[in-house]
Amino acid sequence: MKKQPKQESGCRRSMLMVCGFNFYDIFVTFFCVLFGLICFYPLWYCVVASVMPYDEYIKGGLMLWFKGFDFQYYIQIFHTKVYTNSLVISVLKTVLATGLSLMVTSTMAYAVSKVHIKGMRVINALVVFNLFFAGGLVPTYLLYKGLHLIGTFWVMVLPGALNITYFIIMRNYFSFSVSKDLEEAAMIDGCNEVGIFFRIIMPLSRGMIAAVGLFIAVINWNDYYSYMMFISNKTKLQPFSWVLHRMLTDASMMNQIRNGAVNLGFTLPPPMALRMATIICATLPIMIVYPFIQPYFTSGMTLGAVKE
Amino acid sequence: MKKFRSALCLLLAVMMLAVCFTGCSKKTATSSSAASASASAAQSTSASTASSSAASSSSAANAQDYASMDNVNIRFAQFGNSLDDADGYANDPIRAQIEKDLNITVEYDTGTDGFDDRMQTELYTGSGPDLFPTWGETDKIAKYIEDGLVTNIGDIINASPDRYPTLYKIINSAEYKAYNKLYTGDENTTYAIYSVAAFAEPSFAGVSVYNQSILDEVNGGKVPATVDEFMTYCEAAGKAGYVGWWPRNDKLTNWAEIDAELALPQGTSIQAPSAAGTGTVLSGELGTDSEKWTITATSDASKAVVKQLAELYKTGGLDANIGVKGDFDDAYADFGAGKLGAVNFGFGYPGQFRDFYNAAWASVKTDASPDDLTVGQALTSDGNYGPIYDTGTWINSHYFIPTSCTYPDRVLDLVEYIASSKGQDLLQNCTDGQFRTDQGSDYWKAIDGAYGYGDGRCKYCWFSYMFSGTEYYVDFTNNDWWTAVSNPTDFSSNWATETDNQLVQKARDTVSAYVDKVHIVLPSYYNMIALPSEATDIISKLSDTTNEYLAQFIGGQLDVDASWADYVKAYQDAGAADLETMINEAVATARTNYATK
Repeated sequence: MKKQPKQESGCRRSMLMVCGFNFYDIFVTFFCVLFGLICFYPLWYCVVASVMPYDEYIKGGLMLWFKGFDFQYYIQIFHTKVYTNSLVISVLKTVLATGLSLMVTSTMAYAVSKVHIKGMRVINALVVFNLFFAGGLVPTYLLYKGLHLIGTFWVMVLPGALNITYFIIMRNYFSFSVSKDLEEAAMIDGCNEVGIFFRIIMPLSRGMIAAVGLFIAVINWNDYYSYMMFISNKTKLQPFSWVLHRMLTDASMMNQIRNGAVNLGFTLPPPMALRMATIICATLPIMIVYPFIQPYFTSGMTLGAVKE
Repeated sequence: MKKFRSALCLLLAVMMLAVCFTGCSKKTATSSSAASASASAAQSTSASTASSSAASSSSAANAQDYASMDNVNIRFAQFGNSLDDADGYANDPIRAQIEKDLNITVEYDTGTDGFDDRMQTELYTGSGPDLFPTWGETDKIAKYIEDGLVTNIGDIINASPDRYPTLYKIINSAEYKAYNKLYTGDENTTYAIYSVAAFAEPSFAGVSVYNQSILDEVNGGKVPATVDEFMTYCEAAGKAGYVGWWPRNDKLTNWAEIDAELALPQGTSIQAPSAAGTGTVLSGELGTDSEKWTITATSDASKAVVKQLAELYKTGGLDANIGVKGDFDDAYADFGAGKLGAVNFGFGYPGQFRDFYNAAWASVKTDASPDDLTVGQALTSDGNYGPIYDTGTWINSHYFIPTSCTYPDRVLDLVEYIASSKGQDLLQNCTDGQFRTDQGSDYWKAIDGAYGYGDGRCKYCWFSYMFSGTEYYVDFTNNDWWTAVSNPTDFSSNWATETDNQLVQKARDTVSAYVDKVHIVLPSYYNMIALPSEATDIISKLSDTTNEYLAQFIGGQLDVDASWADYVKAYQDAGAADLETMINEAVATARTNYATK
């Protein structure tokens, strides 16, 4: 009596499998597509709205596809000195901070991965300690003030030179994923520690460096807190992410851009359309970088996934 | 390795223990007067230094001989301005005039997001601006004084009355001393410049502006005068494909306009209570022992109003993007595009109608005319207007000089200059309080471009609300402090265009027909009400409850009848009854202490 339903069930499953029909696969595919659309649509909306002609935009409604192209918002943006200046600052800040952070973090991680050297474990513990216990805003401010960083461009670059999260990842990578034999072979061939790091370890770690580099670059590109708290009234140093933030929250900034648009001969632009164009401008540079490091990025992301 | 781990653990434990005991060495003040006393002690060194410095400077430089004093850099901070225009900043003639007259260098500082946090961080790290504002919070001034962070400016001013004649007069007035007592517990201790806001004309919220063509199309051009007529108009506009009403409810947190437009005329208030006259309804007679404020957010009358709103939302009479529209600009854009029938933007005073017309309408319509828009009337229900209570004046902000500033006497020179007739004339384009007409627009262009709000409130936006929170001219020469700040002069019409003046007059004419029936002036002791600190938490909880429930009631996610009991319970649990008691007790205390002053 009890076996009967099992047989029927088993039979049904096998028939469905024969037909290639699988509810689980359908659910997973449907869920993934839906989730993908939910993630993609806001960005797509930004793109569509940012190039939508004024007459079409003010009709409102759901914007699924282009109803013409008008790049007036982008023209307005790039005719505004605040925007162009902040873009330069952001690029400069991101390049310098990322380069510096990769250099400092990787060299330190490599050194600390050599646990046989006396004191490295202590240094490691002291660095990791800071991951869990930060000084707080006032001590941080005082430190920067003592270092004469307050109000300077360098306060957006130097404090992030050692990224502790990626320090741990890099240290583990150097400890467990790079063959010690290669280092010994290089040493036998007359290479010193610095040479080994730059000639052997770094080329072998390209995937990891690319992945970490991208993450650090994104952090630096999006960072406006350091400007907001430690510079603030020097508008020549404001990064693009801060301008974007002001576009979303500060009416005076929005008015500045909109009035500038009128001076350029455009109809007073809808604030939301301007915001969309600004979001695209803020997103595009970092998105452009992505394809160039895609080959390394994929391999870097899967590093350490397989244990041998 | 084990030894190392043990040592590390021990180290961490010791550090945590040390951190725990860090605050124990400092005795906490138990009362505001004690706080004031300890602060005075903490300040004594710096204050006496500053006083002696001021005195010595005074004698050496013969009071106002600034040229013989050292040139110092004074950083002045003000919320919400802009420094993006470097050329405008460099060519600012008013800043140049101030610098020349006082032999100082003025550096401006501003911000919006994060501004208050930055000010506080800088203050606590000894890097604060030489003159900076807060929003007038009672607890902040007490905390700053207790921590010895701000300078006792009263000591410096009183030590050199010849050098600071205007400030001396200001801080020694009875009303100023009353505020000192309120904030510090000692009427003779002055730590801040109190900025007082007062409109030049009566002000109140809760009046719509209408798109005249939609009004003509769906309502025969008739401006709604009652709540029922307004509801009918909004629904008709919704059915005609427009959006009836956007009540300035950005992010679903601002219920004041809805309250004033619909709820107050019907004898109730739906907004979260925060003070006497805000979310509370008066019974009894003002100024007497019988006055009593009642929280009405969960009353049956409020339930009826919420039902009206939910119905309006359903029929398209209320903007479906309510709570979604990010800020006023988006609603401006919709109104300019002819989508909205009526909009509330706090048309409490005539100048706001002018500003709205210019920003939302004229900027997108080449053939715009003042006749395109109509200022609405305050609505009635059963013949009753919704009373709007205020004192007509309120504390807007506090300006401080941090103790880290090494030349507070020179900063006070700047404050004295701004308070003087010469300074007010400079900021407001006047000569002896009379508007100047000989300045060409080019003179103002740089300033407007760099710093002006562009909405006609003021010509020069730095120092603009240092004394007058509404950015008007204040005459301390011929008036005492309170008279001057509560009766400021609005010069905006003097430099306005003909159209702007026409717009202001249009609004003024409409408003004057009903303002006396709507606007009720509270006795001045209402400015001296101080709620206990526990009230802050309750107000915050009630505000969250209101935002949560009303948004869902109106949007249809919650049925009003089915869930109203939950709303009432949430209010009770949050402590609404306690808050009501606190408000009435605070009013009674203020009446007892200050009613005759």
